[in-house]
Amino acid sequence: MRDELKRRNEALRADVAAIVRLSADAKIVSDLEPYRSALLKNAANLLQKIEKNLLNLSVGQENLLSDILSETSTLIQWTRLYKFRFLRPLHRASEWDRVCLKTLFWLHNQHPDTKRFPPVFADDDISIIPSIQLIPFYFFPCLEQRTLLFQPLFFHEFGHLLYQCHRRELDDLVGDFQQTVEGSLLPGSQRNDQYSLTQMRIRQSIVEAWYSWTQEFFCDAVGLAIGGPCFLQTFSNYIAKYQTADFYRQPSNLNGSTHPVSWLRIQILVDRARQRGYRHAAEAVFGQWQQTAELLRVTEDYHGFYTDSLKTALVKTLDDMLVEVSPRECTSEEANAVAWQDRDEDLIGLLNRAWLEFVENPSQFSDWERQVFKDRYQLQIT
Amino acid sequence: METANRNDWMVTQSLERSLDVISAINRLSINAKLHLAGVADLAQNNEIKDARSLVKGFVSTLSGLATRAQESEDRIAFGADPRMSSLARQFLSDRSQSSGAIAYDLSELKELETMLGSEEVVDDGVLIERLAHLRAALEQHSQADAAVIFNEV
Repeated sequence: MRDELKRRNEALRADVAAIVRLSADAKIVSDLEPYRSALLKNAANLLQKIEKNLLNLSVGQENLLSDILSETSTLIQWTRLYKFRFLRPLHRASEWDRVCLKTLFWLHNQHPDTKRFPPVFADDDISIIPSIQLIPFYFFPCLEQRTLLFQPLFFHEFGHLLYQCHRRELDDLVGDFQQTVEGSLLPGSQRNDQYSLTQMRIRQSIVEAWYSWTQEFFCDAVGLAIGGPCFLQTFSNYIAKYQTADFYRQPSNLNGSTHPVSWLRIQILVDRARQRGYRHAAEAVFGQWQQTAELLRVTEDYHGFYTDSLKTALVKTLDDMLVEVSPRECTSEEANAVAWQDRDEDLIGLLNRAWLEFVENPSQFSDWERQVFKDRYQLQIT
Repeated sequence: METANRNDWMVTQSLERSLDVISAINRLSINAKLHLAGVADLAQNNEIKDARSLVKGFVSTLSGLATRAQESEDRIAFGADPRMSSLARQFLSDRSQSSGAIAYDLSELKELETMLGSEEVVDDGVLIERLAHLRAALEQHSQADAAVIFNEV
């Protein structure tokens, strides 16, 4: 076993050395340099752990083998994460990366807690791995990377990063709300039998789902606070699949789910948009969803996971969470976007203007966007 | 966006947290075993200190969650992500939802927390045993996350 572990750790060392070499040699846009530096530093730490494991193997103590085996397992998993996640943005770097990287750089710089994180993303469906101990890592779909219209989706993902930076306080707020949910589900009297145990498991499932659901609602609210109306339009456009599941899920699909039903998210977000004065975008989005619901003939039923009686407490929790993290807020000028001018720092004005152009002059939108990419992002588009 | 996938924030965080804690447990276990055998550990003092602090913080959080879950009507650790709640419930004495899981009492967890926080010399043999037990529970837990994140061939 000792020889096998030695061979495996030596192979890991060679893999990490190759990751370092590929990262160092990759041709990338300058906006990605901070990420490359961070990755190389982390890879050096990983290499050090592998060396330490090999050193412990050479001590010759038999009773250390179980620890070295366990450590080798963690190193194998970390190395795989480097190969399929961390190396990807450098290995497949493109000039187009500049569009998303500039959005992320701007976002991270708008909040004191996130300035230290280098912007980085890779191709995949939209999501974030908000590791504040390592490197927060975004994913964004290939086509959406090449248009301004979907950039606001990053604002939702940024909400997850802000959550991690304020985790202790936000977990407390979410915990309080979960207790409200549990309170609304508890019967007046309880039996002590199998039925009662089944009911307890159902309540557990509902209350625990609300941990991630509350975070998703919070991230939606962060997205709207930062982006204004463009976020609502992008979000609605991206999550609408025109299927029943947008509005209704069976209890088995609600159990253990990580995201609330889309229709519920839209309703909560539209209410918030109305309060912020984004009436035009709010009514347009609400109307689209309502008409789709009518065509699909769906009836609202969340099977106990949500009732209207929870709405006030939910909105209050989200408000308190926003106060705690204090994201940068979209100004009325940026939301309006009519007077937008191509000033480098005004990303939100640009993204709201992009939606205005897209809605009002759809046939000319591509030309307008192409010009922005040339002037603002220095992209060589033929 | 509705169910957990390989890029899901909760699953990936859970795995990364487990890997870090398991690694720190390994560090402490190796140090204690070398100490028992009278062999010098080449690890720096601050490495051991950092590992101890990481494991202690994790154990403290976990035992706090398990205690809160035990006290709540429905065994729920409010304000904790479901992956941590699920792990915490494994440490509750009746183990009503932990069939097949590594058996581990909340009292053992609290004992380990005390040992890791103690300024006095602790029994290396007991510490090694408790760490190995926690590691086994954590490895079992992290394998469920790894199954989501790493594709099988």
